[in-house]
Amino acid sequence: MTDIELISKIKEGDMDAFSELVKRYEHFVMSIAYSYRNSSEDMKDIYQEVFMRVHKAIKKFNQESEFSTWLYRISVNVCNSFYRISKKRKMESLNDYSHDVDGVAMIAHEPIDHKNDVHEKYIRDELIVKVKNMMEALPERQRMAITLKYLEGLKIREIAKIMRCGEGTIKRYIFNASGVLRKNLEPYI
Amino acid sequence: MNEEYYTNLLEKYRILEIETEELEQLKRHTEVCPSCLKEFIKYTSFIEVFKQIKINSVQNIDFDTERFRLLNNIGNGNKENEKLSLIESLSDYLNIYRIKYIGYGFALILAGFLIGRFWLFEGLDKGIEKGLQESMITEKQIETSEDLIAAKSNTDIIIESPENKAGSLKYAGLTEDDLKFRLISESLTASGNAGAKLKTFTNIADQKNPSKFILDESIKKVLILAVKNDDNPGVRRQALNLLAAYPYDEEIRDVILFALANDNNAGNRIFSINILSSLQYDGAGFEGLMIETLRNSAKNDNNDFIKLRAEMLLQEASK
Repeated sequence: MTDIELISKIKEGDMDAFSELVKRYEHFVMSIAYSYRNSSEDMKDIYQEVFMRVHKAIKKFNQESEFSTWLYRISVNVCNSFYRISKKRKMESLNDYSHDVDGVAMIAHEPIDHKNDVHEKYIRDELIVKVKNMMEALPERQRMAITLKYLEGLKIREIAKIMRCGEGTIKRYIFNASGVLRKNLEPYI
Repeated sequence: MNEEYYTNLLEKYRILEIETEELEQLKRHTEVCPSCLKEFIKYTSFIEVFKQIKINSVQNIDFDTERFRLLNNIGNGNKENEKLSLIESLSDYLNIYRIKYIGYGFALILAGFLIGRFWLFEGLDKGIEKGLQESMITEKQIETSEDLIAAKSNTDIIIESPENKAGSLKYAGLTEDDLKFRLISESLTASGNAGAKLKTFTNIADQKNPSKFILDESIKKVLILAVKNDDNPGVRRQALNLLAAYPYDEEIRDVILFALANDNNAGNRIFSINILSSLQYDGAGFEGLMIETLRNSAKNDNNDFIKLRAEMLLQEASK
């Protein structure tokens, strides 16, 4: 069933169709949430908020654009709101802030299953934290293009549609961003 | 094909826009071209990092639970709207009774008046007073009158609503009705009020006539959610207890194993392992996931009884 067919069913109040649509796009929303350097709990809240908004507003969705483009806009808006709130929280709590910037400290709280894996897991997690930090430093649109490309595996033409710009621009975003990331990651990979 | 062609393929590979056939060509080329091989390895490592990030990004997310929570939240949102119409219906219903009692009141006033007026003048005031009392029965009294609600009920199910701490609410209607699920769901998923949740479990379990209460899939989902997420160990245990009454399937097995592996309450883990070893699951057999979880418990659980029990089950399984 296509997105359009699902959406018209949802407009008639079909909750199974809504559930199907959520299933189809939940990884997409989570990837966007993740690219904003959110915790798992924030990502879950963003997931709830985004799809609640989708459900509320879907009757107004007139299919002039792709559903994924519309969903992307909602997700980015929700993420920005969460980002603003968490930034405010960080400013209010110096303690929290120091924990947040210290990626290694956060890793230390994660359960480790086997002693033999400790070193490997530590290195892998450290690398992930580094990449996330580097990604956070990228301009928003470059970061989003990289996320949709490498985490969601979308094609450049799909990303161009979602982000409403030309394929050439997206290619440039990805080349620039991946160039910066690769250069910074060279000592590690 | 010249070097420029392969450089172009490498660029395509870098941005994951390469076709399968082209990738094969590039791989073949890297076998004979060390400089392209070097670049190819660099890009592969880079892409691998993102694969790890992708796995890492959602490893703590249980999408099924999140989706269920979402649909439940939306259902509750819709219910707010429905409440308005429910309130209207209830008002109509109460109006009928109010009219009835007002009627009684008037009759009594009239009787009192007549008695007082024509036979006992002293009785006039008392008659009016009694009549007024009868006619002053409030909506609240009607609402909380167990007898009145019970008279309309045709099931034995009593559901504790956390929002209605005043007393139990007897649900009138067929058990298959959506309302039943909504009330149970609300009762079991609402935060706090563990007492109400436990009472609901007890009431479900103690049905006088189990045939009236079907252990359906929707309730199963709520029970699974309670085992996985509820803060109160007693609630989690009662949910496990009820789930054990369902016919054995993978979902039931998984949630029992989940409790055995993750519940921080040793009593609940013992309860889970007891369910596993009970006769009810004899036909289920010991398959991979079960063996793996038991091994983990036998090795890592901090409770000696669980370790021993897990070992015993593993021995049984190996026979």
